[in-house]
Amino acid sequence: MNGILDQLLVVTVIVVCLSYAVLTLGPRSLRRSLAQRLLRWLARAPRAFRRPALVARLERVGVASACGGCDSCGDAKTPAPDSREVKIPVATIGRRR
Amino acid sequence: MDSAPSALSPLIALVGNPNCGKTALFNILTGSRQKVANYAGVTVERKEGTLVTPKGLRVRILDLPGAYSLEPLTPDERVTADVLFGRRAGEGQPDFVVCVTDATNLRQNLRLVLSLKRLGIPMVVALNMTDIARRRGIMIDTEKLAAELGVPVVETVGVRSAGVKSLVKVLNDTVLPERKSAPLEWRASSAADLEHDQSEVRRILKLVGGDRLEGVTFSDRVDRVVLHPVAGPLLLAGILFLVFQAVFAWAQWPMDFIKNGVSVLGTYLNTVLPASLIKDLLINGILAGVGSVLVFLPQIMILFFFILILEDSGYLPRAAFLLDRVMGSVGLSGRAFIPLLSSFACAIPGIMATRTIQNPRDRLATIMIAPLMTCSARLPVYALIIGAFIPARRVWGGLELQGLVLFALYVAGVLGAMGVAFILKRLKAGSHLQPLMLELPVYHWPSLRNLALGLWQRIEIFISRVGTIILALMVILWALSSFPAPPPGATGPAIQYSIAGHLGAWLAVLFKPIGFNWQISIALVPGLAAREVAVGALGTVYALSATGEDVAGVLSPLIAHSWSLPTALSLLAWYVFAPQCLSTLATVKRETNSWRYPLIMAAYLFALAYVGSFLTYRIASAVLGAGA
Repeated sequence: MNGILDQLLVVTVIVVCLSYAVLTLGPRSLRRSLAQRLLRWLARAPRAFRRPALVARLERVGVASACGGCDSCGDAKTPAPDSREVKIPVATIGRRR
Repeated sequence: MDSAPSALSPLIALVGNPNCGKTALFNILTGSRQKVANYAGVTVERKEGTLVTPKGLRVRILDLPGAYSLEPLTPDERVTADVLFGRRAGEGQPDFVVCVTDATNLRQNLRLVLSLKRLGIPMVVALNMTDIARRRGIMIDTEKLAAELGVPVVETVGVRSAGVKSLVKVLNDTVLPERKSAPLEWRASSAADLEHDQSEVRRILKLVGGDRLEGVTFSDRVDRVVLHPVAGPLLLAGILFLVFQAVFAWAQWPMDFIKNGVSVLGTYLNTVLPASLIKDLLINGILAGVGSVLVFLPQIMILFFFILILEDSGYLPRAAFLLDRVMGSVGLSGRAFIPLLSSFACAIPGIMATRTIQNPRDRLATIMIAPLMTCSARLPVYALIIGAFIPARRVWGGLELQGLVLFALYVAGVLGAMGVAFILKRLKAGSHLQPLMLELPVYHWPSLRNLALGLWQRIEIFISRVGTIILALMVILWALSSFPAPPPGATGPAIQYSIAGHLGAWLAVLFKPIGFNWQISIALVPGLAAREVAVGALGTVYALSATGEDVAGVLSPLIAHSWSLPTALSLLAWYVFAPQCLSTLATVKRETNSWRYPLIMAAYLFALAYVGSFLTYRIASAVLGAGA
């Protein structure tokens, strides 16, 4: 195999994997800036590269939390806790008034 | 699922008591595949999908967490209340509400219907689970119910697509009103309101029928055994024991099949590709790393097969009831059981599920111990080490020894969690035990569709992790382990001179007291992204350390040859406690709205893991001899 082609292929694979790892697990600010750069690059790239799913995923990157690809864990923040707490005496449970 | 077709599309919210079948309806209406199970509190967050009505109107459907009232007591109920009152940022209140009610428990469900009516949003009542109600002899006059409530009432069966036709027809015929922009004013219910609602419910039930029949049901008869103070815990222990036995006993041949497939592919690539960097990357980086993880798919499937059956049958809340006393002794509420059990799949949904816990202290304690439950990502690590060091033989009248060790590791995680909860209870002075109030759902046979769908989703998740983040990390690790190249005249394996080799040598100093060599030390670093990555990393590191070719798929005998038994036991102890998952820490940050708790969690778990491994290694070395 041509040595240059070999090295070019390996470097491309490493760059793609590194970008993916940063986009998936990196800090939010880094993910956001990388996603914006990639979106700008995609906007100029030939149509074949502008996959709608890829664009949608990149647009979500800056918003979603870091995720290791587990189950659907959602992205909404926990609602603020309610200060009111109802305490029911154990002795009254199960008794009707 | 189409997440957001247009912000202007009408918004329809599915609201109802917990475990009345909202998500099952949502899945059928929108074609989604959200998790469905037979216990309260499966959905803890809003989920969105779309439905195109027969007349072509595209509507957004929201599946909301179950709520008993519009005055939230738990974080998941607050999600529902916030959506209904239009208090969520960037989202108006729903245009229409589908109030899903459980036809077998109308007495409880009608109170929420009356509250929703007061809210003033156009509404339809979906009388769900009517098939089960009929089988139990519960007959409800839907026309009379609609007349009494003043809203349309339709019968639905959320587990069958034909069961939602009438609901789709109502949605199709309804003219949705103009969207309101201002959030609703809501006056909290007074005691008089509650009394009024209750008497209204009694009045309506008397008119329409549908009150729960008295007498002993099938579920009651089963519960006599399942909830028995002696037979119940024994049955629970037996079920869990069976699961871990099956994980090893049933998975052997499919694992061998995958292992052989990876090996054949490695040999083939080795033969057809000329010597090059890309060949090294494919065989020693990708195939050795990814292949080592992929082989554990059958064991994960068997584990989830049992978890899904337990979830769908209605057994899980009973297990929570049985364990309430045990959990109470260490300061946890029985309600923590289901989040902790979810953590056996993955700590992230487990931590999310703590939203169903009312008391903030109980919730925080449950979040802090959730990562100690053995998640499925740890299974490949355990299975690899057990497979390499524990002989596959039967003991004590036919029990699999490997399954017994796996069971012991899961128990170790649970005991560790109990110990930490006990300490948290001591630290939090003034915390008081909350009584457990839990709905026990009716038992039913697990739906084959749900089971198949659930298993398929787990396969998708696992393969997707292997094909994305694990693959990416393996390629990065290969690069770090291959460059820079060894200097001329170097005699050791090339990896020793690489960046990863130097990093491993440095980390090995830190981990030497607990018996880890430099290869293990390297594998722990990418393992921070996700635990099972450590197995792939070991595959890659050992492939690059070896002088021979094609080691993909033979990691188990390789580590059996190069590690001592105390080292293997120490690594198992490490994985019982170590917080090797960044996503979990990120979720804790999100759920607690603070960096304080994830940092405390990471620190205490690392300390626990290090001490646990140190003791295991030292004791095992003393008992077995250093060279064991």
